[in-house]
Amino acid sequence: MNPDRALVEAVLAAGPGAFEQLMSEYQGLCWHIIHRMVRSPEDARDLCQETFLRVHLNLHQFRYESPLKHWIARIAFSIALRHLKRHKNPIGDALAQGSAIAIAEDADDAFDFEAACDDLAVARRLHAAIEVLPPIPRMLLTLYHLDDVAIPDIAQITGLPAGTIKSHLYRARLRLRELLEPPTGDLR
Amino acid sequence: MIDDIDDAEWQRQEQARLAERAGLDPTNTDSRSMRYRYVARQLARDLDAPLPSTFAYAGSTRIEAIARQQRRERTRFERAAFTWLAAVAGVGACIALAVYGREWWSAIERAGWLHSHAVPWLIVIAVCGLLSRLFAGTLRSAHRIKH
Repeated sequence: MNPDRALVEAVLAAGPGAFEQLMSEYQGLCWHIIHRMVRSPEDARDLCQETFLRVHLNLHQFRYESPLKHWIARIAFSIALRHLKRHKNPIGDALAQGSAIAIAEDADDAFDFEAACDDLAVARRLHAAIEVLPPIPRMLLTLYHLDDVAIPDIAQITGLPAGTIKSHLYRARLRLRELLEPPTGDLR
Repeated sequence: MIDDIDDAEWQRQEQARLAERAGLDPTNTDSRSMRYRYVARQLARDLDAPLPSTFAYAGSTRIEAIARQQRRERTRFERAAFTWLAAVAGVGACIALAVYGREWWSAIERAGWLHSHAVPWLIVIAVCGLLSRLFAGTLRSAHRIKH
């Protein structure tokens, strides 16, 4: 039997420990999606709980048309998005306007990539630059690089067109790479 | 939105991501691809504080309790709504009977339906249908309350 079906049927039959198993399996993915978008750990924890509550209440409507992982991720994404809209946070446009990675413009003139590649400071600068990305590109980078979710699957989860996702990934990675460039660009 | 993508640059990004994932030897890699590999390496690191280890255990117990409570409340609301609807329909039926009852009865008598041999069987079929619906409804609500 399909493992998704076995787990869903166990939860619907109120099998002992079944819902806990479902949560353990998918909490990491939900956490990445929500935390990357919302940033506040307290809010992210509450929204994770809300996601799983909604999963529990609506699991009988799951039709196996997509993997359970995508269905749960879609719920997590919509809950995080609603939270951001409610708090009037900019969601993903700042990158398009070129204002997202302000930190990249503060790049140290004396920065030397070859010498500093293993330097903790470089990693810290890069992570600071990732932190200031708008929520959508930040979450897309995490799904693609950390959770290893393919672009068509991300499209299914977020409802964004694959081209838009590719564009967000492309521009964010380009900016992050530019952050590592020496000011003269002579290493290109 | 895809128009702003330089295909060669995209390929470079993707090759760097795959090379980093496969742990390929970076020798002979150009400096721009090296930077992309460094970016890919950092992006693949989980720097967020993880959820507490008890999240699934504590969360599932709480969520199951909340879900049970919400289902119970929903069932209670559905029952109350159904009762009100049935009461309104009953009152409407009584008013309609009071207003048009005599007219309907005389029409039925004129048609001669009451003297047909099929009448007892039609009544039996209607009662069977009604009982089976009521029984199915009771079973469904008992199952819902259990979960």
